Amino acid sequence: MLKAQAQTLKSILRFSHIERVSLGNILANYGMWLALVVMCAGFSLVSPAFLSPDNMWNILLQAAPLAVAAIGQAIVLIAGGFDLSVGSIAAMSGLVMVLSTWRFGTIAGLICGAAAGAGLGAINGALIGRWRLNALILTLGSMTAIRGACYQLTGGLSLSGNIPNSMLLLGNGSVGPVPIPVIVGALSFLFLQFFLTRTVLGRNMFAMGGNREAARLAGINLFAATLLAFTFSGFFASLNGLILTSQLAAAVPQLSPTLMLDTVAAVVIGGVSMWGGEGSAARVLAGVLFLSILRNGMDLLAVSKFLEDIATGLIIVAAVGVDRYRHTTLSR
Amino acid sequence: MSESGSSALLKVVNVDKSFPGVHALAGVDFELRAGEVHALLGQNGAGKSTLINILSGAIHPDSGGMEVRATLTTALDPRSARQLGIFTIYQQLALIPQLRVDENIFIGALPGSRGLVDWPTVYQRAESALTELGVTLNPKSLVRDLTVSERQLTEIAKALAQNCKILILDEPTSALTEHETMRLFDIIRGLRARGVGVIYATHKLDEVVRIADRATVLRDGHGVGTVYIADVSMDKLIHMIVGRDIADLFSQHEAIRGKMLLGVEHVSHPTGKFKDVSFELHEGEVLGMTGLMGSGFHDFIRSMSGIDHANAFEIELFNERRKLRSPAEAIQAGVLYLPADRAAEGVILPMSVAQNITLATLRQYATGGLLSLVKEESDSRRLMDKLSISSRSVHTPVRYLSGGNQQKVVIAKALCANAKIFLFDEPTRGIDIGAKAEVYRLIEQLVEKGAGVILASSELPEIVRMADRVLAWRGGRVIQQLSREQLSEAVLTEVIGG
Repeated sequence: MLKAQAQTLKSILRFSHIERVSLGNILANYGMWLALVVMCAGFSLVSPAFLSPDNMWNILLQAAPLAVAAIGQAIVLIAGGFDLSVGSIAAMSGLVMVLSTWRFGTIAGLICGAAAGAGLGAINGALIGRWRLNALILTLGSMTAIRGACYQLTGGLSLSGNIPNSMLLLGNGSVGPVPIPVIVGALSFLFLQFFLTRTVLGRNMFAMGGNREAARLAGINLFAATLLAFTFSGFFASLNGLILTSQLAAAVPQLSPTLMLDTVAAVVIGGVSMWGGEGSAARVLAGVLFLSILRNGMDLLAVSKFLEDIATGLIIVAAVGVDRYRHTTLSR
Repeated sequence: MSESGSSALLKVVNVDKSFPGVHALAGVDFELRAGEVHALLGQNGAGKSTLINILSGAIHPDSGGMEVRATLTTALDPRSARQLGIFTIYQQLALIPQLRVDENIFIGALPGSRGLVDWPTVYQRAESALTELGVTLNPKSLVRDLTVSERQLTEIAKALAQNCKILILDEPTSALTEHETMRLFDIIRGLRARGVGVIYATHKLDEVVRIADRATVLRDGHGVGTVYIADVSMDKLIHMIVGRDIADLFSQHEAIRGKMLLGVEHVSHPTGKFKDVSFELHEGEVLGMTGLMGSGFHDFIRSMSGIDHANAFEIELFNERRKLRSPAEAIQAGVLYLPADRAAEGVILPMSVAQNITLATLRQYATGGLLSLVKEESDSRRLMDKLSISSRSVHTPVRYLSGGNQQKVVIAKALCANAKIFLFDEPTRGIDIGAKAEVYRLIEQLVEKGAGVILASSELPEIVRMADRVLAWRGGRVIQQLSREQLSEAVLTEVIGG
């Protein structure tokens, strides 16, 4: 009994399997962690404040909203799609949360906010799945439409005031030293790992993203997988919106303006393939941490935001190159 | 044919090549003479594709010397290979479907001056190349409208038009009918007469005996030897390839026919792809389907798999009248289809061997939506051993496997299913001798356990060996049903019109 459980545990925690031990292979699949270590070492040498516990928690706290949204984006990418509307969904979820909280209280607010995100994601997924529309273009459209709706709903203003303290807990509270957003992030990662490795639906998404035709012939319901992938993305995007709105104590229509770019950057840097069918929770974690630590380090060093953007951009280019290398050269 | 090296068109000596984790070629020698057809033989993973890629300039060897037409060559790439007269025609044809035939023939070498293309010359030279091959093909037709055989001829015309001296063919007949194969052989003989050297890589030993002068056998990356076809027997060749004797390549099973599993009555496709098809499939039997390309049996068997939702037809399945409207429905009903184009439709490259094997039957491994990874691992390991899939482990991503091993994975996927009816579409295309025998044995095991198998194949020897009954197709119809006693390659060839 125990042996079987240990075996299962081993299977859950297994990362992508190293098959051919070569420098290229190791770097392509695990290089991100190495880069992380090097970067941390570099920053700690140059900035004494970097390794302090306060800063460490700070990094995690800053990373959490990105992390949850990146998890949703990763699911969609693995399933072979793209979700450009995550930022807009985050903003709309924040709006819905505040409006619901005003009327029905915090719990209702949280539920309605998350439901709004999942619902919008489901609409994305339904349209893409049913009519085989191009995910990139469709989510570009919904991104624009939903953002427009946010502004329309609020008249361009933010919704603040009359916020009960309970609603502020999500973004600002903590359990002991651990901020609540970090707990939400950690739980989300556990969910992702479990979902991708142990569930039939997760496996179906890998199949669909890896080879759509083969997945179809194997009897996988592509519509259901597409619908649910985007629903998850919408849900996790909404978590981003809920956390940030709680931190701001206000719903702003322009929330998370660059979330779409940041999530794609994080997952690609971490090693989730843009071709679909490949990725893991560990890779998303690596990418999110990398981006967050990079930003934190640069902030500590008072590097200009523009230089930071240049650095991030170059790293994304490198990451895409590595992705391509993994996709082509490492195959026979 | 002289023994001296002076007529050697191409020579590689002591070639070595390794990929991450695999030593693909270890000290291989190969020599091609002018005016010869030299077969390249070996099992999947033996190194054939690697050697061909090196000869065509697609990859570089780690070490070893290469001489092309008596000039020592070090850095060969596809472009310089072309200039030296080396043309390779891969199984996955390298044509551009959206362009015309004449454009494809001269792609990369369009005649013209000052940056402008001389289209009349392109058309004329393409036309003369095609005529030389004895092919009636309109140079202005788009490649995507051509059949596989016509595309292949276009590639050969490309080689001819650009002064090919060395032609490398990789599994050229896998998608050809017998008639088209004979035409190809005539063309090859014509090239040979002109002094062109042809390297012919294949699994089909019967073809090697018909067309090749010499053969080089590779096994596990080593050269086993080079022989003159005239001097060697089929058994010896097989022995060289596999390293042992294969007893049951030619044995047949006893047919025990049980109750009816599937009945099809007067079924037609609205577009006329197949018309008025009727037959029965019983437990324990292998029903063969064969015909020329386009005769309809491939379309029919695909339709049976539930792929064509809109045109699903009514069948009697396990005593119940129903339609199979999707692959999912078919699989659930116990009907499993094995696609012919396994690269495009069979494997999912980023996923592991185990994950691919369980792809169609994931429910079996899940309780309440939760997968049992342990069971998945052990079942796929068992199948991996059974089919001799050469891979480090079941967790290896399938993209690291050789083409033939990938095909074995797809077959393992079919075997993993508890289907009662199996629709095999060209099951041994591109699979080596050893694995072929394995697959035949496995199909026999399936029918021994009471499954019904429909075997759609354009390989007549395969049909003759495996089928209990055969439906011969022509022009979208089943024109004759043959029993095992009536079966022979000659009879089949005649019936299907090849």
